[in-house]
Parts: sequence; structure tokens; C-alpha cells
Amino acid sequence: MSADCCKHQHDLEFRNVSAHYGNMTVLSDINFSVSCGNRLAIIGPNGAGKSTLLRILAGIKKHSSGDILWQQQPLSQWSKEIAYLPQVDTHQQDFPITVREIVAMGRYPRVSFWRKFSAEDHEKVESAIEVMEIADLADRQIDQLSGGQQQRAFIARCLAQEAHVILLDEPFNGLDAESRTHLAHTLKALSDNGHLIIASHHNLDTVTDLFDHALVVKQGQVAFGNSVEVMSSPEVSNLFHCKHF
Amino acid sequence: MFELTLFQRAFFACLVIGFTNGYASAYVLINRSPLKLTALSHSLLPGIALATLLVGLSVMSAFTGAVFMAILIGMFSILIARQTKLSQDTTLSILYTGAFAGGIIILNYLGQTQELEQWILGNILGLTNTDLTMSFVIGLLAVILLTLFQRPILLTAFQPDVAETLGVPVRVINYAGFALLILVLVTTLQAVGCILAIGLIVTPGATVRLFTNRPRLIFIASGFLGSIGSAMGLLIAYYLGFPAAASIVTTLTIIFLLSWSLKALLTLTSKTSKKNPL
Repeated sequence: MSADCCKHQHDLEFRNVSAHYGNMTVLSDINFSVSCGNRLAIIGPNGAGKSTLLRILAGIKKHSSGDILWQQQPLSQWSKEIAYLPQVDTHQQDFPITVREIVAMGRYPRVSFWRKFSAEDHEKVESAIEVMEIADLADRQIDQLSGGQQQRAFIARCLAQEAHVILLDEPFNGLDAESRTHLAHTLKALSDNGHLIIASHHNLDTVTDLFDHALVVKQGQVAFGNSVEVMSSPEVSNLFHCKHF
Repeated sequence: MFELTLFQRAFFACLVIGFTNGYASAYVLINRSPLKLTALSHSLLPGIALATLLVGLSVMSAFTGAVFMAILIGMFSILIARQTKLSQDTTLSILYTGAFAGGIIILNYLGQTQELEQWILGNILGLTNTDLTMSFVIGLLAVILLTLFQRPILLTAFQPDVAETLGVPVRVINYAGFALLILVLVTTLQAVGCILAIGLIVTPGATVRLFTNRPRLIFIASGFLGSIGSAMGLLIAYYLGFPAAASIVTTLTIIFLLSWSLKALLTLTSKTSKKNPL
């Protein structure tokens, strides 16, 4: 992985955050704090609010009340530092775009929509491609890649964006065993490098292997903390009644 | 033949409207919106008919009526789809065909059957200098905007959620794109009519897409293909005595089919040469 992402330890803090769709409460009173350099899994049953929480963090959905802080300031002021990866199958699969063009999209917030890319911008794009080990795929079309390769291209875009916080919606879904292992190593390397990784995840068996922190939600907050402790807590056992959901 | 002022005007209109529609067809292609566009083009006639009924026919009233009806049908199709188990494609199809039929009734009631035929099938030889100027200005505006905003347009079409996190005003881009397509269609309507207009604003982009994966090239090449194809269609109509609008759209369709055949042949040749390198 490239040079250190965060020279200082930054915290992401949720203070009594609630969210609604119309009259329906989808999240209420979420409180937690996590520092960069960690991998946080958001887990919960279907419809528990995992994706909503990610969308709030990404700035796609507004929360109804409470505060979300990054470096003690409202997160909305730091939008460039947040990168979001939706589930792999949510984009147009046959869209006319190469891997390099996808990665270059990460530079858009910094170059605006009109300015030409500077030498530094090109360098950041190529560096992100190198770091994600997809140089041999750079000129390929997106529809010529496997799910795992697409994930790497999208993560490279986050690196080109120079985002500190990387949000992933069910990143392991639909990946084969080899791609899952590769992605797990990538996320570990990114967090070791100082990135804060936050991902929704549905496989209880792998939470402790893949993430060091876990937040369990079911509209409200059920548990938060070290992933090993959270997954063995009685609240989580009571919520799911079984190992898988 | 170029001494004919009417023909000269029509030829120039083909070049301008063909380029604008071709350029816009790349936008339609990457947004995967031909069906919505079909609905949109059919909504224009009832909008124009209603405006004519209420305030009389002028460029401004035609445009306002067309925009109003397109938005109304779009909103109602969403509303009904949300309140029922019907898909939006279904409700859109019901509403636009119903509105189109209503438009025919209104124009019949107004006794403007000749105008009715022009709006439906177009009359490129009947374009005035004002029509031509409007087509040129709107075409220029459309090409400039689609070029200037190509990055956010591509990002929004590819991954709208990601576009939003990267600072793209996704809704504004979508609504502005929709409004721009209405503008382009309104200027096209008089030339080829609201039914054949779809061919002009879909076919060039689809043809170019067969040969390239580069979005910027798709925009520019589609513009030139639309322009050249339309001019060729007009020349064929002139020499063979065909209706101009039908000839233009048929020419573009034949170019598409020939391109598709060529592409299939190239793919086959490439596969064969890979199997037998010597």
C-alpha cells in the first residue's frame, strides 16, 4: 500500500443520530465513535438500517436529528474525505468506460467538472491503479472484469479521491473465494495504512476475521465495540437467535 | 439543385438538426432512456395542441405546452405506478398514448388537420428562417451543455449514488438533461414529426456504440453521423421523390443495420483469424 493516509488519529463520531423515511423511523439514537485505522462492520437483520446508515455517512441521505462529526466538525464539511462503494451489481454493467476512467472519476471533486487533469492528478490515478494491482486491467472495459476486479477498480477510485473514510455496501457479496480473500487483505492493508473502513456485512461467521469493530443495528443501536466482544455478547445472540441471518 | 431556397434551407436544417440529435443520442444511449424518450416525444403533440387551443400557436406556446405536458405525464406515471402494482413503463405507455390520442382530437377540433400531419410526420421543406435560427441556437446550446457537463453526466448515468458523494447535483443533472431533450425534440418536431424524431435521437448513438467504447467519441461521432445521415436521407428523398422525414429516418436505420452487419462480420473474421493464425 502507499504512504500513510492519516498522519493524525481522526475520529468519526455519531451523537444521537436518527433517520426517518416519511413517518417511519429507520434509525434512532445511534451513538458510537471510531478512529481511522479501523475496520467497522455494520451488521443487522434485513431492513435494520445498515444501508441507510451508510447512505447517511455518504451524504446521500440526510439524518433527521443528532450530529455526525469527523475531526470534531460536522461531517458534511468533509465530503471529499468520504468515498462510497455501492454493491457491485448496482451500476450499468455494459457502460462504455475503462478501469482507468473509473479511477479518474475519483479526482473529479478536486479538479471540478471542467478543468483538465494536471500532472499530479494523472499521477494520483496511476498510483491508485498500481496500489490496487490492476495496471494490467487499466484499459479494459468494466464489463470485461470479474466482480472482484471491479471492486478493486472502485477501491482504486477511492484512493485517487484521497478519501480517508471508505464506505462499502456489502462488499463481499457475489465474490468468489479468491476475490473475497483478496478483498479482505486489501481492506486490512488500507486500514493499516490509516483509512477508516466501514462496511455493511451480513455473514456473522466472518465478522471477527474481517473487521476489528462491529456495530449492530436494528433501527436502534443494539451493540457496538470490539468485533469479538460484540459478536459474543448476549444482545447479539438474542437478536439473531442463531448464527446466520 | 442548390438554387432552390427551400431545398437549401432543408439541407442546412438536416445538417444542424441531424448533428444536434446525433450528439443528444449519445446522452440518450448512456442514460438508457429510449423508452422514456418515446413517451416524451409523444407527449409533445398533446402539449402543443393544448397550448394552441388555449393561447394560439407560436414557438413559445408550443414549447411551453410541450414541456408542461411532458412533465405532467412523467409525474402522473410515477404517481400511479407508486399507488398501484403497475410498473412505471406500463403507466407511462398508457398515459403517453392516451395523451397523444387526445392531442389528435384537439387538433381535429381546431380544424388544423394540415398542421396535425406536419407535427406527426414533419415537414422539413416547410421550415422558415426563424425555425432554422431556433434550431441552430438550441442545437448550439445543447452541444455546448452536453460537452461542458460531460463528466457529471457520465458519472450520474454510471453510478448515481457515487456521483452524489462526489459532489454532482444528480437531480439537477437529470432534470436539466430531460429539459434539454425536450428542447431538442421541439426543434426536431417540425422537421421530421414527433414519431420519426425518435429515430433521429436514438439511432446515431446506437450505431456509433457498435464500434467504440469511448464516451467522448460516441458523442462527437454520433453528431457527425446524425448530420451526414440526415443530409443523405434528404438527397435520396429529393432524387427518388420520397417523403423527406421518412427518407431521413430510413437512411439512418439502414446505416445502423449495415454497421451492425459489418461489426458482426469483423467479429467473425477476428475470431476465425485467432483460431487459424496462419
